[in-house]
This record gives sequence, C-alpha cells and structure tokens, in this order.
Amino acid sequence: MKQMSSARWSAITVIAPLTAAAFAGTAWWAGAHDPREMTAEVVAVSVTDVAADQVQSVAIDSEDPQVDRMLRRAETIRAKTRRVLRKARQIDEATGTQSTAGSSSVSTGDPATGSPGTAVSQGSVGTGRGTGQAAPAPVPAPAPEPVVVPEPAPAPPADTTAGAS
Amino acid sequence: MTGLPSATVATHVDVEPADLTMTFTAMASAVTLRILDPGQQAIQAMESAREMFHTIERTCTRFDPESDLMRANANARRWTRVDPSCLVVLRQAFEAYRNTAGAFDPRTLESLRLLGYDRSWELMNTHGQSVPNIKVRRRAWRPSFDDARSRVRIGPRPVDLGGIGKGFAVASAMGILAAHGRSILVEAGGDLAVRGSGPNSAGWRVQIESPFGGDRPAAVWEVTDTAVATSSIRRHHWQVGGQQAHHLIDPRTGLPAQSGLLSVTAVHPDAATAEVWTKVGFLAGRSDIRTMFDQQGIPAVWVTEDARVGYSKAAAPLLAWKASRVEPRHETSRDRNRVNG
Repeated sequence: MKQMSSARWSAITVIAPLTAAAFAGTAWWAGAHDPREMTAEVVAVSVTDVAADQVQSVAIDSEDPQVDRMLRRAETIRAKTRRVLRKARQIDEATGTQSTAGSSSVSTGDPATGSPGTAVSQGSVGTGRGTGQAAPAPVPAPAPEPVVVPEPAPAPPADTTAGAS
Repeated sequence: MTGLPSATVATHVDVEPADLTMTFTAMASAVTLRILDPGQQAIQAMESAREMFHTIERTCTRFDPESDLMRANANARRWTRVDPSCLVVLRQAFEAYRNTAGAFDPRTLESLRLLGYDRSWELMNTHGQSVPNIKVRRRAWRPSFDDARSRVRIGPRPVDLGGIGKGFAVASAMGILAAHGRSILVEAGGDLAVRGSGPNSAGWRVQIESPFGGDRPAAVWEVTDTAVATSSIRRHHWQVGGQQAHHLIDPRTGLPAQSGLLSVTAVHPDAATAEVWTKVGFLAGRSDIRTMFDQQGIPAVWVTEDARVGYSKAAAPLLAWKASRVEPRHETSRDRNRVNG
C-alpha cells in the first residue's frame, strides 16, 4: 500500500469525472507515465494501463475522501475494461483465437468515516491462436423505420460551429 | 498534423474576466480553448493544454519522417522507443481497433501515401496523379507495447494517427482544463469537447456545418459534458487520375470509402472515441449507418450524397434543431481553403 497526501491528489480530483482517455492523457501530461512510480498521477495512468492489461497490480491507501472518489472512478474504468474484454472474447470466438483475462477488485473507502479505500488488480490478457470453431455470422437486425423529421424553423444561434476533419 | 503555433489570449485577465478564450493552430486545425468563469490558474492551464497539443502533434505526425510515430512505422517489427504521448495514442488506437472488431483500423498510411496525401493538406497537389494499384492483405493488427521502456512494435503495416491523435488531444486538453472554470470548450477542427452548461446554462449549442458549406447547418446539438466529432469527405478530397479521392480509407480495400455519405457526426463522452465512431459510421455506409448507430446507442447525425440528413435514435434528445435536408451546392474556393481539420 502506498500512502499519499491529499496535496498530491488535488490535481487528480479535477479529472475524476472525465473519461478514461482524458484521464490517461491528463495524468500523462502531469509527467507521470512510468507505472513504477507510485505517485497519485501515476495511479491514474496505472488504472488505464490496467485496462490495457499492462499493469499487474495497483494499490491505493488513503483517508482522503477525494481518493475515494478516484477509486470509484477507477471501478468505472475497470467495468468498461471488462466490457471490452468480453467483446474481445466474442471476437476471438468468431475468429478461432483465445483470450484469457485476469481478475480485479476495487473497494472504496467510506467518506463518512474516513476509512481508506483500496484498488487492486491482478492478471494479464493474452491472445493466441486456438482451434475453436468460428461462430456463425450474426443475423443483422432489421433496420428501423426511417425517422420523419419535419423541416424546422431557422437554426437557433449556436455557441460554436463544429467543423469537420 | 502540422502547423506553426500561434497563441492569443483574447480577453483581458486583470479584471477577472467571465469568458477566457485562447486560439492557436495545431494539427493543421484552428484550436480554440474557452473557459467561462475561469479560475485563477486558468491561463496557466490553457498554456499547458496548448503545449500538450503541440507535443502530440510533434510526436504523432505522419508528415515528419523523424517523428516518433514514423520511426516506429519504419521499424515495423522491431521495438522502437517513442515519447509516452505517442505510446498513449497508439494504445488508444489499438483499443479502438479491438473495440470495433477492426472496423476502425489506423493502418491506412500506405494507402494515403499512394493516393498522394503524403504531406500536410495545405501543401498538397490536389490534381494530376495516376490511379495507384492498391491491394490490401488484411491480417489482424497485433502491436506490442512496452510501457516500462516506452517502446512499441507497430507491425508491418504503417499507422496513421491523424484523426484519433487529434481526438485524444482534445480529450486530454479537457482533462487539463476541467477544474479551471464553470464551463469549458475545447475545439480542434472536427473534434470538440464541452463541459458544463455553456454560456446560456442550457448546454453548449454546437452547430454542425453542412458538408456543402453555406450558413444553414445540418443540425444543432445542445450538449453538456461530452464530445462531438465530425468526419467529412468534402473537406479533404482531391483528384487522382481523374477520379475523386478522399482521406477516409476503407481498411477492407485500402481505397477511399464508397459509402454514399458526405459527413458523419458522432457524440460520445470521449473525443477520441467519438472520432472513431465517425469513421466506423462511414464504413457502415448509407444503408447500414442508422442500424449500426442505433445498435450501439450512439447519438449521430449524417448527411448523404443526395443531401439528406439522417439521425440515430439516441440523437433525438440532444438535438436543439435539425434539418431533413441540406442545400446541395457547389463548394467555393473559400469553403475548400478553410483550415478546419
């Protein structure tokens, strides 16, 4: 377990509500890419790296309620990861390859009592060629009825105009 | 992803402004950072976000053979040490590849080069090239990442990070700015992220341009805490041997996607992922795009070649205004010359 001061977390709390990508990018920009350095910023990267199955374990221990929020965010990211892994397994089944997934767990501290929270993830993911049978091609769902959109009044003023790439 | 940095802070800061805007050019796009009711550190955060944009541009550009991305592309099957920014974007691209079952595939660099898009758009010769013979042997992408040493093995087919790199930069900039104001906008060409309720407290109103140009939009989103990405083949297209080419490559053929669509806009909490879904929407094509976006539950708007505007079911709650058609017209040189992504 790594103790962290709330001072180090003040920069992290601002990004907690954001997505995993913004999370990783912000933490990376904070100069904390190397997961061997267990600073608060690195934990942010590590959580995402866990999503990419590059980190074997992450451990956090703090009485800071902001850490608690951070951990809940980590759980959200990990849930997203599990969905990605499920999808990867589905792809593997369809293509005759195999994936293995590790396990992870997160417990959050109690902000009311100030009890510490922990996040631990272990495992790895790999792919290898298997001998399974390819799954049958999915049957596409029927296209829904087209939406009839009445011609509207002139467009309202906008705050910005999005271009295209 | 080129462009000289030029930054201006458009409002005075000594009177605690309610609206702070910074504009600069990066990744061949006009970038806007806007913070409403900014905090005391807002300008420093903007400077940091701007620097981050230029770092990703420098490391992930495909127009500099010495960039981290192009060195890794050249080394193909060998480990290449790259800047962490490049490693993070490559990882994001690979995650998108897996998450879309390969529909999003950034290994399009060779096709773009053969089609003549081998330099930044503003430097490109848009006429007079012969039709290349492009054949794709499609194999699964299996890059390797070494975080501890910041190394990557990209694999035999070179990667282009243009679209997803900009989306990632927008997402990361929002991460940097998020705590420094009541409402925030980050915009870079076709990628945009918003946070908070916008100037009028009802959400940010984001107008989606018609791919034909002109003042009448295709739709107006009213959104908070999300990102909007648009890909269009009207912005970047050119002639190859008398045929029209564009930059949205179908990974199945290695050729410009024949989709029946002119533009696709997708909304997602993450700007890079929104960008990915616009590309997947293009590949779905006119016949399948609505089914695909409805199955994914992604808010999206698209414009077909015959100027019809389509919407996914999830788009309805987020649209403040929508057209059923846009006005088709020939684009003007002013439209084509707009540096917008």
